[in-house]
Amino acid sequence: MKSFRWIILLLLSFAFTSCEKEENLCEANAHPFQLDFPDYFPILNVPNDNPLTEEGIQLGRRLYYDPLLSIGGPNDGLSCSSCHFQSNSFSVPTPPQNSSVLPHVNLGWNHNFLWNGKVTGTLEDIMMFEVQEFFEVDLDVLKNHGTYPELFKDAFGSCELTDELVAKALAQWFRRMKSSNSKFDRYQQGLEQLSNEELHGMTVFFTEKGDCFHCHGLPLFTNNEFHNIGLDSIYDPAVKDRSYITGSPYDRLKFKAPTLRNVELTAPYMHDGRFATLEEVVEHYNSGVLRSTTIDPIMTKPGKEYGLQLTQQEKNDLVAFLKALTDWEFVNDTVLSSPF
Amino acid sequence: MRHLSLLLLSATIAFLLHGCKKDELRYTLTVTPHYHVDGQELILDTIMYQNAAGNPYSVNRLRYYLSNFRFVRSDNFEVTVDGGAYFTDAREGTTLTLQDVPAGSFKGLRFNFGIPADLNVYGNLPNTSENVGMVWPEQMGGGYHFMKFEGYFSSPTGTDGYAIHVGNNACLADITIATPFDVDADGSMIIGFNLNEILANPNTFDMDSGNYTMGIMPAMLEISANMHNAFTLEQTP
Repeated sequence: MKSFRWIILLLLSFAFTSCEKEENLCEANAHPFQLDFPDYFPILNVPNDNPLTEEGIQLGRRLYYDPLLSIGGPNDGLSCSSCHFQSNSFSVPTPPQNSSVLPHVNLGWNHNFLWNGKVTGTLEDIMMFEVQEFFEVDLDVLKNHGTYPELFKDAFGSCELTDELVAKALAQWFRRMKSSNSKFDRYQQGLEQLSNEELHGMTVFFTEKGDCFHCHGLPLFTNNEFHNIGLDSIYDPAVKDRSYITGSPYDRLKFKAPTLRNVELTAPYMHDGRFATLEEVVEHYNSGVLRSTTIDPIMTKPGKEYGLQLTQQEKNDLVAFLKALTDWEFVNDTVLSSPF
Repeated sequence: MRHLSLLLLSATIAFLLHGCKKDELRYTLTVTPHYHVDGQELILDTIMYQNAAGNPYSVNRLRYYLSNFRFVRSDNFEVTVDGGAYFTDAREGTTLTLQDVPAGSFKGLRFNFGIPADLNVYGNLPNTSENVGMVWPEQMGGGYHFMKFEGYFSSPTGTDGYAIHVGNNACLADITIATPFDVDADGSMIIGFNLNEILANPNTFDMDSGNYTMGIMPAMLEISANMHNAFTLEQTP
């Protein structure tokens, strides 16, 4: 009887030890990452269940550049980076006809995603959409890969590879894709002077003269909302604008205001890529605005009913200021480039 | 000896009274704005209201700041309950929380529509997305928008948008609601906000004559003056 008790104890102790061992197998090896940005940037919202870590970011980076993400899905052979080039502020200069690709920059501060806001919420939400709907990621491909299971374990302490973890890793990477070192930023911090042209353009931008700031205000240069800026006067149901999502006729012809950070690198412009240059964009606001019932009141305010009516010099200066928003460090930083 | 006793007694009473004051009961009040248009519940995004000028209009965006909450005692002494500024978004149903509210009977409350001058400097409010979205450019005076009130209205030519934006320290409005209430427990209060009052009383705002106010000081001052009649205390704590 005594020896039977000893056997039970031995078995129990073995069972506990093996449990502990199994947990250790899936233990995270993640180190916190501190993302630095200027104090005039908004507070970065990071979900408690997905803090930034070195390992999580590196995993997200790898997934971003890896076509393995799309194997067997509707976009087979593509990775995020196939349509988002770092040299173009993670957009693409030659998008499919009648479209343009929003740049992947400072999306950690966004809550409306895609041109019509099809997905709202956090980066984790939009990444879940990318994983499950856009790429239709085949988890088995990742599970059977020689490297990924170990990377997921290190980043998240989980041996169970799920859509949610893929989305979380990508979300961490997108938070890391932060741009805050343009000439304008250095000017804001008293580190560099803007030229006279740029300064004058900045005044046009931030006053009623150009009134760019309402939709493209400091410091992100987007208000992250939807506007009808008078590109068209007739609603086309085939164009998937904001009303396609909300069903509201008041949202017709509205699209998300994109960030203007690095805007000189993100042509073509507008949701349908109709403008090839910044000069064309400025001329639209200056003289090409078309009225419709949902046009933003800012576009037709008293005195500006027929456009901004800027002089040629003012238009040139405005473009010069827009080019001061380019963060060359961001587009050349090897930390943000492909790990392959 | 008698003087000494009196002195000691006075000191003890003073100490006790002081001690009592320190232990004064304090509560938390939740303030919920109730949006309506002359009594009609606010439904966003639909042209279904009419203002004093006769413009049929909708409300698509209403974001604003209330600040510097004070409760007025019967002796007219104003207890500053919270000197901070609260961002509020009608679409989000934002509520405000006033902490450390002293117990007492009050004959009314006061607060500012807008942001006090010391806080109305970019960076002096926490850099939340909401505050950053209300920034008023330095080139136009700096600080923050006090209010963005936007929507659509039926005009003689069809449908147009309006954008009533107010900022600038001169447009800070001191609101008084002379409705008595008691605070003796944690609770909530409902402040009614009649949106038609933004557009009337004393200044009637005709959207056909102007659908935009930012940077137009006379128009912003008129809107600011109208705010005095826009708020009521609908539910006391």
